[in-house]
Amino acid sequence: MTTLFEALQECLQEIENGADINAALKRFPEHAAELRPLLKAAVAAQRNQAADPSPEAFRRGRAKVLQRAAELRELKSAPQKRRLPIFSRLALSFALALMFLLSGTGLLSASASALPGDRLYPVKRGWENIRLSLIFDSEARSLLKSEFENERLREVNELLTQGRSETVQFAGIFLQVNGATYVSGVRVSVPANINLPENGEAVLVAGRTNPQGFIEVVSFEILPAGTVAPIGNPIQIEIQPTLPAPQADVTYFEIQGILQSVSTTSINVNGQTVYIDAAQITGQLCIGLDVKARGYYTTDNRFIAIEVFGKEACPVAPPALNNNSNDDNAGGIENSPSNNDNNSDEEDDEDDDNDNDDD
Amino acid sequence: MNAFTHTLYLKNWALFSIMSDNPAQSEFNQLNDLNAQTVGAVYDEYFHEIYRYVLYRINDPDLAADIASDVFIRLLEAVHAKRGPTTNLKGWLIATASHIVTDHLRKKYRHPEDEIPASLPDPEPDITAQLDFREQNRNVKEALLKLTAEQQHVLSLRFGQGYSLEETAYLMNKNVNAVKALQFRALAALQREIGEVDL
Repeated sequence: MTTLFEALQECLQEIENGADINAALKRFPEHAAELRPLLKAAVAAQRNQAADPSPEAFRRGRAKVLQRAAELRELKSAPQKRRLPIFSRLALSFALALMFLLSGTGLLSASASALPGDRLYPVKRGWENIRLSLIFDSEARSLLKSEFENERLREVNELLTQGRSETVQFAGIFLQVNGATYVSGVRVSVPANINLPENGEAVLVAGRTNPQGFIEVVSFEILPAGTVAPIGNPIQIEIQPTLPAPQADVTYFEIQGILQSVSTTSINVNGQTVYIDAAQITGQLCIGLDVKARGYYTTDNRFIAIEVFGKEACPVAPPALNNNSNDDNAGGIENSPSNNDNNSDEEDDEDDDNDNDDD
Repeated sequence: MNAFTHTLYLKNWALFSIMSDNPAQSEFNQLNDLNAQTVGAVYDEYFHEIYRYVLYRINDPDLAADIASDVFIRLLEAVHAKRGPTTNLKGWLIATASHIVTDHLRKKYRHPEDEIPASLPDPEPDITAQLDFREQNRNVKEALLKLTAEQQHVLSLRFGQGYSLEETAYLMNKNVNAVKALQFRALAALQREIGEVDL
């Protein structure tokens, strides 16, 4: 095959020197059939030679190239920004890393008291993550985790004490009490569009500390039940009486009548609702038997009892209510003993009847 | 006067560098300064060759002029970035031209435009022979485009530019035997595309 390539080259050479195809092929009769079409193609290819560029195209290109050369010269002469060569940069970063490792404890202890927004704070959090990632014992790990959670809460309290405004995120226990909302003892202000968690739920709070000493909540994330969250400072619960306190110049009244119903907060005496939240109750409250209450009227006409006197003991089978008795006396104030006595007599009778039936 | 000596110097050096691998380092140092005289001299020296090479392969005079001047701009940028040629300036220019053309053809192949084939020079009040010749030329040009980039490259150098086998081998950075084989295959492929040629 090499000889064929050689033969082609020889023929091309001869044609270049002015021979025609037949003359060139004379030297290689054995390859003539094969080479002839190739030589013809070569001659055709040669005839195809391109023309020279127009002078205009030549000048245009020249101007373009010289323009670019000038631009590049300008770039070159402009003072270049001094940059550290790659090796120095690498060496520098190694040195820094080494310094960090060797003086690590110094830097870390410096960062230990960092608060969100401080320069060293990322170092502190980074170190915490490193410590967490190096612990494989799950118990020790969760212990360390809760230690860090406590640290978050401590940071928040510190920020609030200093009156700084920083973005924070911490976990805690939600509590709504005293008409305010808290997370692990830290006062939080929750925008109306955020649903309040249940009291006692562990939440992850994202928000901002503000100089007024509370946190503006941006979002609550309810943590799964059973999550251990730092509890924080206990909240002093102010006991807010649900009922208005008696005024100084209050007039006390006494009601006596048949006890018609009992609920946890009130009793009904002859149709009059008597609130007993703040009352001292003596004896037993037996429905259908008479009862005496001492108390006062509030401005909105509720009767608040401070003392209620019931029976010493209720009868075994409570007497059925007599509806008629309501009509007899609608909440007699300052007593109406005769009526009540009558009622109780009737009921006693009924009581007897019942006993008979049983027999 | 100065520019003239430059050109002369480059010409001598170009010949020198083609025949040997011994680099004329000082010439490249001059080019490194990117001064107008040296750049202009290089352009004047090589533009026609590069232009003809490009036109041989793409057959569009305006585009060929653009591509040819782009080759020199790439040279400047390479020199500026200290990636310029250090031994074989002409080889570098030809290789760059070849890359740009191949790139262009590939793009054109991917996004073919329905364009009218570039017209050839205005017909002269001459004979049918010229028409035949033009017809044949067009056949060759179309056929060339169907060859591989390397085959187009070798045919352009050998027959478009008329470079000798040795010169072509040097510019392609191949040995002479490889170019012999390559030109054989390229001619065979071209012949298959254009069919029997009447000469």
